This record gives sequence, C-alpha cells and structure tokens, in this order.
Amino acid sequence: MSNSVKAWQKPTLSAHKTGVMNKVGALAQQHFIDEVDGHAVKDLMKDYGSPVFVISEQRLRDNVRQLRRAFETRYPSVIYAWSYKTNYLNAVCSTMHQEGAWAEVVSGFEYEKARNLGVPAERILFNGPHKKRAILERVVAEGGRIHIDHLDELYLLEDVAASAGKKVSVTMRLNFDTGYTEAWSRFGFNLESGQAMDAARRIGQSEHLELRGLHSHIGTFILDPRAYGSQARIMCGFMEAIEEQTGCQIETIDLGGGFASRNTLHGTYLPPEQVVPSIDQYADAICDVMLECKQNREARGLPYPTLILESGRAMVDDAGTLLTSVVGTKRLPDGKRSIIIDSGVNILFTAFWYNHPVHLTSPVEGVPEDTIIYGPLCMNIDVVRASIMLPPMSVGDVLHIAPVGAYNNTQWMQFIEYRPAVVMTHPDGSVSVIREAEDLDCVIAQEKLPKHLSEF
Amino acid sequence: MPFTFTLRAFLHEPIQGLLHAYASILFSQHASVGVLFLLATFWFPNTGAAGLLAAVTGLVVAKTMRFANVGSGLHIYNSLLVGLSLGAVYQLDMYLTILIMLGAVMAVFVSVALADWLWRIDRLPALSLPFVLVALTTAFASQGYGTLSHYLVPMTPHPIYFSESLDHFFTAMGSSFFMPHPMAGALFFLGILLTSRYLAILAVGGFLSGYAVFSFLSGSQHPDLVAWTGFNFVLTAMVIGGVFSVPSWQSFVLAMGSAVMAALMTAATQSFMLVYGLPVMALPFLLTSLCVLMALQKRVSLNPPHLLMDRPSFPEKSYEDARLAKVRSGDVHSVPLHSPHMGQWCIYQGFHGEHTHQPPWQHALDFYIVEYGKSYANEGYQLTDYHCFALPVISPAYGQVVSCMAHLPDNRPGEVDTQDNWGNHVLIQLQNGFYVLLAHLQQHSILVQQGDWLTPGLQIGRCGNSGRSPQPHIHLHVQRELALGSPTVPFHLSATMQRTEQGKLNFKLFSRPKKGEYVCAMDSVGALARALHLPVGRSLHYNVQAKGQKDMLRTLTVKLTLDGQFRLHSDQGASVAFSETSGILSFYDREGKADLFFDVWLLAVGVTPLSEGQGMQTLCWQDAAAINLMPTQIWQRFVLALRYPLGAGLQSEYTRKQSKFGEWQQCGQHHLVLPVFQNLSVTTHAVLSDVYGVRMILMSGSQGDLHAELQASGLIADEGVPASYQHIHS
Repeated sequence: MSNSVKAWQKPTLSAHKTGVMNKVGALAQQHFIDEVDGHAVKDLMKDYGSPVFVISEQRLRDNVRQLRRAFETRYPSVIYAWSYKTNYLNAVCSTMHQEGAWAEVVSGFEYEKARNLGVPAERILFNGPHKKRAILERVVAEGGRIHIDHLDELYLLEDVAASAGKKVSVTMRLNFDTGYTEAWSRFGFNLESGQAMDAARRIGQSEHLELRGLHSHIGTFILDPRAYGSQARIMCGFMEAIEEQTGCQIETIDLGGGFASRNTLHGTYLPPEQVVPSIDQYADAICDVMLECKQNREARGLPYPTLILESGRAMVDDAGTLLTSVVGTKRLPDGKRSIIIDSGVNILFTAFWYNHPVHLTSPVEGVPEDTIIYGPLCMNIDVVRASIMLPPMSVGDVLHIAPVGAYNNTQWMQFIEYRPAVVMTHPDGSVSVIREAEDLDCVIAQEKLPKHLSEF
Repeated sequence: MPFTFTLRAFLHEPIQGLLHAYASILFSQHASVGVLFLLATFWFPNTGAAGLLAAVTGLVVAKTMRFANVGSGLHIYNSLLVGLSLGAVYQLDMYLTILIMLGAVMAVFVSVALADWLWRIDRLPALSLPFVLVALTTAFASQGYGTLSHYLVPMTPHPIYFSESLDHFFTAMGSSFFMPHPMAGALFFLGILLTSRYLAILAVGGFLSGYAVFSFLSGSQHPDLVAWTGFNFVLTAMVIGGVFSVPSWQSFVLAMGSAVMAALMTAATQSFMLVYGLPVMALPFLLTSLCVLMALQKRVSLNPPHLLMDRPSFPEKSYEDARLAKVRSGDVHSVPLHSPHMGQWCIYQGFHGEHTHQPPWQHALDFYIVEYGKSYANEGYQLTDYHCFALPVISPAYGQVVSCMAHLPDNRPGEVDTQDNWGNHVLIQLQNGFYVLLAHLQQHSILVQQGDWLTPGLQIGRCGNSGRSPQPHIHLHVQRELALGSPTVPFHLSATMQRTEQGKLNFKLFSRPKKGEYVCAMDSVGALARALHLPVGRSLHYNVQAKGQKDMLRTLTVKLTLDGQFRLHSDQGASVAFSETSGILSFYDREGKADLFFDVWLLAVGVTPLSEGQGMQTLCWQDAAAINLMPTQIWQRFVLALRYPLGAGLQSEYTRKQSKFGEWQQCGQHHLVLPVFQNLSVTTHAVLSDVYGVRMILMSGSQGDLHAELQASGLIADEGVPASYQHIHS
C-alpha cells in the first residue's frame, strides 16, 4: 500500500464551539492500548471472543507483595486476608493464597468456596452480618475464625459452641467515628454508645466464647490515610480498655480493607494518580500507630497484637481488564454521539459508581467528540460512560476498559445476556480460561419445568 | 525408724562430701570413684588411715563451722591430702594423730580463705595450694617434734607388676595420693578412666612429656626420680588441657607444654627444697598451672584454647557444650544481634565488601530492599522512589544510646556526603561493652536520645540516605570503642529467616548474610510460644509405646536450679537444660543415663523456633544435637565412643508445617554417618498444639519405633499453691 493513500475517515458533523479546550486537552482519548500484559488485544479477541475479562496473574502477585512488603517492613506481625467478595474466581483466590494470603469471607457460600479451594479453616476470617446456624456449626467444628457482628449472632454462636462443647475464640466487629470518614454504623458493635464494651463484657462472661480479636472496617475507597491512623489508635485504645475490664487477651487487630484503587468515583474531578494514596502511605499511617502501641505494650511486658488487613480492591482492581466491542453507533436527537458496546452494567457492575478509563485499542482517525457509551441491555440504566471524548467509532472496534478487576466478577449478573469468559495471563506468557463463557445449558441448569407446563 | 531416717539424712551430706573429696583430687565428681580412691589409699594402711582421719576431721570442722558447700568436698580434700602426706612419712600413733588433726583443721581454714581470695585476685582456682601451705608448715614443725616416729612406705624393691614403664607411670599416679605403688596408681588411673577418657589421655600424655624432658635433662633414666614427683606432670596436663579449657588441639599442645614446664619446675623446687629437707609435693604442679592459667586470662584472641575458669568441667562435657554453642549460636567471640529492620531486606554490602567495608570497618552489613533486581520504583530520581527509604529502623540489641546525630540532610540519589561519613546515626553501647552503630538514617527521624535504654525491636529512627550513602540503606556494625568509626569486630544476626524458591521459610539460628542474600526478621511469637512454654513445676505425662516394651506412663517435670537454670527432668533420672529466649525454645546440656523416650522427645523438639510462620509456608531449619540422643545399640555406642571420644553432633533437618487448626507437624530427620558400619538415621515427628504444647511424639527409622502421646499435664504443688492435673482429651 502506498503511503500517499490516506486512511478512510468516518465523516462527522461537529458544531463549532469555542472555549471548550481545557488543560487535559481534547486529544486525551487518542491514545490507544493494543495489548494486555503482553498479549495483543486482537489475538485475545480472536481466541476468546468479545467481550472478555483479562486478569493478570503477575499484577496480582506484585500487588500483594507490595502490600505485604509495605506492612511487614513497618510492623513485625502482619497477616493479609484476601477479601473473597472482591473477586472470588478460584484462580484469583489461589494466586492470593499462594502469596500467603488468608481468606476473608462474608457468607456461608464464600466460606464453603474457600474450604473447597483447600484453605485451612483457621486461616479463614468469617465476617458479615448473616451467618446461619448450620454454617456456624461447621465453622465452629472446623475452627474457623468468626467475627461477631451483632448480639443475636453472639447468642446464636454461644449456643452453637455450647452444643459442640467447645470454647470458641472470636473476634468482635466494631464501628466508630474516625473523624475523617462517614462512620459505617450498620456493621458491628458501636463503640461510642458503649454497646461494644457491653458486648465484650458479655463475651467475657461466656463459658463458651473467648474474645481474641477486634475488627472494624471504616468504609470503602478511603482516600485519606489519616483515617486509618485514627482507626488503629481507637482500636488499640479499646483493646487496652477491654483487656483491663474483661481480662481477655487480644491477639489480632483487623483493620478491614477499603484502600482505594486507581479508579475514579463518579463526581471526582482529579485523576486517581493525584488523589489515590500509595500503599506505603496507608502503611505509614497505620504502622506508626501500631508500632507505638507495640512498644507501649512491650514496655509493660504485654504481647502485642497481630495486624490483619483485608484489602481487596487495591489488590485486584488494576489486574483486571475488560475488552469489549462496538456493536453500533448512533447520533442522538440532541446531536450527541453515542455508541453501543457488547458489555453493559450486567457485567461491568462497577460502572454504577466509577468513571472507568476507556481506551482505544487501535488508532482511530477523526475528531474526538463527547460520546455516551451504552451497554447492550434493553434497559435505560445501562450506561457505561455518560460522557467521554472519543473519536468516531465503527462497529467492530475494540475498547479497553480498566481497571475492572474488583467486584465485577462477583457482582455481575446474568441478566438479558450471557456472561463472558474470564481469562488469566500468566507470568510465563501463557493464557488460560479461568471461567468459561456462559451458554444456555449453564444458565438454565438450575431450572425445573413442571410437567404440565412443558408443552404448549 | 524415725531416728535412723534422720541419722541417714544427717550423714548423707558429709558422706557425699567425703567421697567427693577423694574423687576431686583427680578431678572426678562421682561418689563411686571416691569409694574406689578411698579403698585404694588403704594399699598402705598407715597412709590411708592418716588420710581418712584428716578428711573426717576436716569434714567435722567444715560442718561445725557451717562453711558452705560441705557436700562438694571442696574444703575437705586439702585436709585429706595433709593427712595422706603425714601418713606417708610418719607412723600413725597418738602424736601423729594430734598433728594430723591440727593440720586438717588448719587446711579447712586455709582452703576457705584462699579459695575466695584467689578467685577475687585473678579468677584462679585454689586447687591443692592450701594443702601445700599446710603440709609445708607441718613438715617444718615436725622437724622439731621428737615424738614422731618415721614410717617409710615400702617403695623399693618391689616386683614388676605390669611392665617397667607402666609401673613408672602408675607409681607416679599413685604418688598424687602419696601412694607410690603401681597397684594403687593403677586404681587411681582406673578412676580417671571411668570419669573421663580424655582426662586419661591427658594424664598419659602429660606424664610422657614431663618424664621425657625430666630424664633427658637429668641424664638419668632412674625411675625413682619421678616416683614421688611425676604426678605433677600428670595433674598439670589434666588441669590445663581438660579441666579449665575446652578441648582442642591447641589446648592439648599447651597441656603437654605445661607438663614439660612442670618438669622444669619440679627439678628446680627439688633442688631448692632439699636444702631444707622438705618434700616438693604438688608445688611444681601448682606453680605451673596457676601461672599458665593466669597468663592465659590476659590473652585477647578469638582462637582456642578457650578457658573455662568460672565453670570447670569434664572435657567431654565442655567440648559438647562448646560444640553445641557453636552450631546454635555461632562463633564464641562474634557479637549476636537481631536484624535492625522488620520484614524482608537484602544485603547491599556484606563483610569485607568491595565498596567501603574494608579494614578496619570490614565487619559491617548494609541492608536495603530490592525487588526484581531494582531497589526503587519509577525512575529512581527521588528518594521516595526507593523501596527502603523512610522505613523504620529498630534496635538490634539491648543497650544504651551513647551518641546520636539527626540533623544531616538526606543526599539526593547518587550523591554522597564525605564530610560526615556516617550521616545521621545512633551509637548503642551493649551490655558486653561493645558498641553498635546504625548509620545513614533519615534526617530528623531519630526517636531516641543519648542515655536511652533500648530493647530489641524498639524503633530508633528511619532508613535514610545521609552521610556517605549513594542510595538509602542501613549500615550496621559493632565496634570496640566509643569513637565513631573505631575498628569493628565480628558480629552475626540471630533468629532470621530466608524465603526459599519453594516458598519455604529457612530459619537460621545465626547467620552472617552475604551480599545479595535476603534476610527476613523473625515475626512475632504467639499462641505456639505460649503453649510450648515450660514454667517451673510443669509436669507432662505421656503414654509411651515402644516396640518390644510394655506401654508405660512417663512423666517429665520442669525444675529450676539454684543458679537459675531451667531443667526438664525425666522420671528415670535424666535431665536437660532449656532456654526460651529470642523466640527459640532450645534444649542443651543433657545429663544422666540413656532414656529412650526422653531422648526421642529431645530429638523431636531439640531446637524449636516459636514463630508460627505466616501464610501456609513451611518453616525449615538445621541443628546438630549431641549424638548420644540418637537411640543406639550397645555395640554402636562403643563404635561411636571410639570414633568420637569427645562427642559429636547429628545432622538434623527440621521442617514444620501447620497441619490443622492450632496444630503443627514438626518433622526431624536425624543422620549420623558411622565409619565402616552403617549410617544411622531416625525420623521424629512432634505434633505441637497451641493448647497442649508437645502433644505427640513419634519416632521411626533404623533405630526402632516409638509413639508417645500426652495424657495429662499438671503443675507441681508449691507452698500455698495446690497441685493441678488436667487430662487431655484428644
């Protein structure tokens, strides 16, 4: 092909506007990313179809190592527990466990999933406000670590422990105001009202329960590390108070998760590179307080608590990428350009709260224009990006949406469309399917059709 | 009945003391050897009776005066020697009895006075110096007492008992008890042989060296020259080479040299003393030994011989102690430190490093963090890009801050400050007098000040890039003096872990990591440490099944000695010392007779790190416990004793993995390569529970099988504290 031949450019109509240029520039979306973790987007689409989730094993490992390094070099006893609900695909969980992570589960289903993967019960933290008697019986028998959320659960667990003839070590979930973030008061026992101390006393009097740990989760996507410093200080203080008042010995302080990932919440102006703290900044804020607590306790001859972290999003989000294709383009009546892609909020659930970065995967000529990205659902709410500068797209063009590793592969729904395949890229350069694309058989596998309805 | 019981109790200590006194003349502590020696002294009944009289007199005096440690026989053996020395020269009659008793009384007082005084002067043992002083006094005095009638031990002529040269040796041995007779001497030598084979070798070697030089220089082979004095060579060699130093070839050579010096001293004192008609007795031995020991104490060196002035012991035991100390704690003269950081770091420059770790700063470690071969993220243009920058630096030891500096700025990456080489630093004085330097800390990050007392793990500052430091790192060294940058001394890191390729954690009791190696500080200890804790009075009751033996219930009990050593005692008499410091439970100093269950228990638990290990990683480590812990047949023990007369270590490889909730499987593979015969190996398994401690012990291998399960654990009663006993339901 001769160089003098110009590439065909899709014709566009754009209204003349002045003063719209800003410091970010209109050309932002002209950049394109044509590979994921060393694999050409074209090849991935050809091999696995569209859309497809791609998860990088190496990035997962790097993230966990970075987190562990940041905390282990600042505090001498740290445990990292993988938050299953963030992404509980077996391959993802196993990668985490190979890196030494424990499991943090919030339901009977997740507990069973972790056990099924081979995680020893004592390395599973069982959280969440809903634990049925049957699952509690199993966890007590196996020796999992139960985090009590409310008084009714406390009574239920005590009863289960009594029936099993055991003394069960438990962790108590707390909520309080750190002064930096909105308090999440629906989980755990409230500290300020005295409810937490009452519960601790109640556990202290129990013949079948023994308080060994404290847990709290101050919220999600916390952008100010000082909130964690404050959280650690409050929990260490409460530990001293209950140890003195109930005679228990606290072995673990679990600060939950909530570290932000490199994503942009709706309504945030600055890019994540500028607002999201590094793991080291979170670690500094937390470990400064924990180390002070440790040295304070050692001076009094007391053992110091192990620090538990349950960060999910910050570990897996940037390891996940969604490759998706344009299936249609449309000019809206108000003149705005829109495109329809083959993945919507059904599989990209986090589009409800993030403005995901969307990149082209090949150079597209043409003037970028404010564009709406719609999903494939026959539902009005199915909007992936309400506003993004994109050049004129054509059917078959592939978009790269990342980071999408957190919450999508767990919160996605089989709604209207089948859910696509998830593949994992490995450090040795190979790729495997870690979740097959759905088909009719698997979607209707659980259904039962009453006989009289089978014919019509 | 009550009366006899009280009498026995009353007599127990004096009789022990008496037998110890006889045994300790030749450095033994066994009562049975004491009985042997006591009987042997009656080869010449006159001398033997005189000795016994003196010993009993000394005993009564020591007991009446309530001098400490009567049972040890320390004060009495000088009285005993005074009695023997008089009984060898004079007929035992009423007059001599009075003289002996006077001498014995005096010897007790002189012993008590001298022992303390000599120790205070220069940490010297009194040995038989009190005896020599008192014996010389009585000898001088007796020259004026016409009442004493001479008695000459029938020395010559006598038939040859063993062979001519053996007779010389045994006669010399015998004269240490004033029994210059081959048969008596042979019994004394047998006593030494029963006590320690190595001491017996030293005795023979010392005699040969001393005798060779003595007779060579005197130009005469006449045996009578050494019959009365030859024991001086023997005792000198035993004291220098076996009792007060750790056996090594250096100490052996020194012992032989000392025996030669004793020969010279013997000739000299003989010439001198004969003028006054006095016997030389043990004087040459005392002068030589005390002089050599005093001189050796002035020496500053890392090389053998290593002295044991404060804890003289059998050479076999001191050798074993020193061997185990070396395999578990590293070189004797290397200063043990903890890592100055948390988590996993890497060595940037090791001992004798190419950049700056050159004499006199060759003993130093630099720590930093590398990942995928890079010590920084992004471009590395900023200090904050460096992985280790601003991470906490913690105290590596107990000590006091003697100086610190905090104001120097951190260099930009690649730049160095050669004006203030060490940058911001903290200098800590250790309890052993050395100084630890931590250098290149971050500006204004130092949290301690001069005079602060530090404990290991206490944060002192943050890693920075001040001083002669092109990229952030921690510099650690130990120096001899207070001045910053004075010459360094060797040190090592205790209790560190290394991650291996297989995802295991390699636990090292001590290490001196090299450039590029990773060092992971040991994490904290928790439930496992609490469960394995052995408080005084704890009793552990095991149900033991071994092949070919009846099932039995065995009990292990924790006792605390007067000098503060925790010991675990088996109900069959054996015991072992243990410590629980620095996150490691370790057993050492096994004493008592063989005990299959106890030895297997010790092999299985041996050295146990109390860190639980993170994730699902396997912790592995090595040890070299004493070979006598390996269960062996009698003939195998014989071969071992021949091959390793001073003892040796097993090759033990341990791995530990959490098997289920609150339980760890600790597997030990123990090997011993025996020449000619076969390789011995056993595998031990210990199940450690975070509630019950050592819940189960299993052994399998070429040396038999054993299975022991914890049945109950209890606590022995103390005044006002009732005993407790708790059955274990597994």
